[in-house]
Amino acid sequence: MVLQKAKGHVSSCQADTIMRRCVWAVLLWPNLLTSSVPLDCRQEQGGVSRCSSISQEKLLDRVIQHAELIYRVSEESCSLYEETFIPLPLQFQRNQAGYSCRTLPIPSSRSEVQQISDKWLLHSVLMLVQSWLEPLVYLQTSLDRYDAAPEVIINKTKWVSEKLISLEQGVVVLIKEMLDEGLLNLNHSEEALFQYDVQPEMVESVMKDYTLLSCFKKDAHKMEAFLKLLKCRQTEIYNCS
Amino acid sequence: MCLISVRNPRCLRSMLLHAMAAALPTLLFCLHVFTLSATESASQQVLPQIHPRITGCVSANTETFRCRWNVGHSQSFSQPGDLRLFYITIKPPANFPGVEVWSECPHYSTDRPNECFFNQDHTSIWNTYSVQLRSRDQATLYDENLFHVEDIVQPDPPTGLNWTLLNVSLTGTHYDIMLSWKPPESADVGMGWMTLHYNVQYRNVESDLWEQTDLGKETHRSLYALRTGVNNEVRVRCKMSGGKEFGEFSDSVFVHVPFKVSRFPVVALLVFGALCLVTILMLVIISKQERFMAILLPPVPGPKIRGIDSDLLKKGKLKELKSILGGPPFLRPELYNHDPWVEFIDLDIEEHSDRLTDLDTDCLVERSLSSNWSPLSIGFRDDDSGRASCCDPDLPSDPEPSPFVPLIPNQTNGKEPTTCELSSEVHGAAPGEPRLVAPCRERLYTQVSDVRSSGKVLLSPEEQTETGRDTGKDIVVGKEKKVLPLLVVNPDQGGYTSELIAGKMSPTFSSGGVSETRQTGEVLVSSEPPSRHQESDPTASPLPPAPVYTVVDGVGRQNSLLLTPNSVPAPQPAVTKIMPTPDGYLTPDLMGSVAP
Repeated sequence: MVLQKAKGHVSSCQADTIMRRCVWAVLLWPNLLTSSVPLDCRQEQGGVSRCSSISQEKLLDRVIQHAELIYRVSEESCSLYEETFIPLPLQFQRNQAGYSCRTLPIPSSRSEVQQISDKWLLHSVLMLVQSWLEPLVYLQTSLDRYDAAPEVIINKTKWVSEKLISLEQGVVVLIKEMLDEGLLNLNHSEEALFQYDVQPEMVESVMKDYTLLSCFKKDAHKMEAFLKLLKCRQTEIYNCS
Repeated sequence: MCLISVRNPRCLRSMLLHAMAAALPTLLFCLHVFTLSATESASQQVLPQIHPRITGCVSANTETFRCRWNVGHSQSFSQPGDLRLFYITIKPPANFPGVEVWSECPHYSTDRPNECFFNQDHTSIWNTYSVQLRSRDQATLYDENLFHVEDIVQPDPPTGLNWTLLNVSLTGTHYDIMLSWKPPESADVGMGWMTLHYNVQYRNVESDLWEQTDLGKETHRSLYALRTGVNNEVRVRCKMSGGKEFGEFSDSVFVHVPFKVSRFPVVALLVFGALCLVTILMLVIISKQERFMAILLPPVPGPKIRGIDSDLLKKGKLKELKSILGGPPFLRPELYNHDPWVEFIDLDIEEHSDRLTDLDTDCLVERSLSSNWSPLSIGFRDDDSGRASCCDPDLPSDPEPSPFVPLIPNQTNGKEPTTCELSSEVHGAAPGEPRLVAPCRERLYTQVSDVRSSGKVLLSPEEQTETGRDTGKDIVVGKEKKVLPLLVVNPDQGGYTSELIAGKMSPTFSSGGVSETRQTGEVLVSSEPPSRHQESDPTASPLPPAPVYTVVDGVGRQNSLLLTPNSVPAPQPAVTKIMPTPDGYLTPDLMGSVAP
């Protein structure tokens, strides 16, 4: 009889836990939608039905969050790299070392930025994002070649690469939604700045990577600024002049 | 070696020379360092005097920036325009081979000397700036600086620093505040052009050490555990998210909350409470109120018979009690499976211990020792638990000869049998059967003089000298002074039989012992309430009350006593009833009639 009682108790306990889980699932199901749908939105570029469940505002917010995070992480990895590898005198001479950031025809002052249209803002961001997909991969391989590269930098670079891909998808969707344009022909016509066959020497490689990191940091800041300006224009709360 | 003997003058000299030789380079080194430091300090004082240099370029809002320089201590640059700032924006694609077009500072600040202000038109973000400090004729380059505008951002300090009191601790020594501020006006946070992170610092005014909080994006912050009665200084600064440098600190705000005596004195309360408690305890103990004592110090519960409520016995509710005792035995197995009452037999073994062993051995030896009995009786040693007495059915009554109902008609007069005469008698009665030997001791029987309605059985005091002892001894059943005689009813299938088992066996003994069935029955009173004048031979008494004693016919199977039915006709009609006696007790003969 005691055994039966114990069994009954156990089964009631199990029933309780099942009930609890069901209740939690019922309460939290909207979160499942909101958290999972944006990813689906970005991955499926043709899937309209799913993307309609997230508003354009929310998508823009998420895109901005991504850009902010990418900028912050890139800044951290750049300064870490500077501390680790670059001696002090060279820190300000990156541009004189022969490497400069590859730039795209993008406005560079606030006033210029404020003058360009929404369409141009989004396209600029997309261009920026796409221009960095490949170099980041190259940067990862280059960092792996170092003996003393801190794990942190390598991990951060990997993380940034992944986030950049999702950022691209998000921006594409935004363009499609906001500008009512079709899927863009993603042409990655870039200047072949990097020659993958030739492995540069250590010092050269270090300086090159340093340049890459600092340039990427700059471009990440650009992306963030453009997207925020776009958001400001969308909400029209402030006089985003 | 010179190490050992210092007294040797030659050794001493050599040692001194060695020491000097060792000291000399260190001395020289010290001198060298000293001179170097002297020259360095001298040169430091000299350098700023000669060369002007750019102290820094700072942007407050990522839209404009300023460059400042230091003229040094030389008098040759006191005139404005003696130093000129040139800059170039290296816009990609960088045309290094080409001619670099340098531009002069767009606006030399009027409010401050030695400062150049670059407005929005001349500020381009994400591009490299190169700034040079040259002399008036541009012949001499004094200083140069390279930067990106977004890297040199140092936001203005936050404004509108304000605090509100959150709460004060119970003791009144600490308090929490909520700090709030506004972002600097120059930073366009609303649009999102700049994302700021804030850092709060606070300290006790008297101390030099600032405490910091983590970076936060919010424009409010709570500070915990600031001390009352002390002036606290709070300030906040901010930096751009992803930026390197913090901006200037805001103006400090002084927070002061006076120390208040706490609303309720905790210590006084505690002391008061303790005193009250002590007073109450003292009162209770002194007054010896039973009720309070019972609450505070509950009494140790006394023994209980399982199934018998002692209150029932006290109140005289014999009917309820009988319901437990009576009835078919198979309905109440718990009553027969345990011997609770036996545990509470208070045996005085000290006086009887010797006698016990002697007599017992005598008795036991003379028995026809069946295997059932021998282990019990030979190995018997009485102890205070009383349980040991169960093994020998005679023995429970041994220390208490007075309550024992005599089974031999010879003893109706209350005479004590001589030792071992009884045993022979018993033996003679039924030789072939295992006997239940009556205890071979003096004062084995006494007459039940009275049975009270409350259930108490009064036994006639012994004529011997040991009256006090008899009355003093108690077999306790619950809290009874006089106990029911210890007769065990054999729980046969047929109900009560005429067989009596004088004594009880403890469960442990009985399992190994005599019978298969549990022999533990309940206590029965087998007597009627005779009056005191019935000390005479009850068999011959013409009085209607049944005689107190009956004759043991023999010992039946399972060590039960076979009793002869009473010859007195008077109780016969009473026998037919199930409850013949006024008190409802069944005598052994009555039981015999009840049985099938």
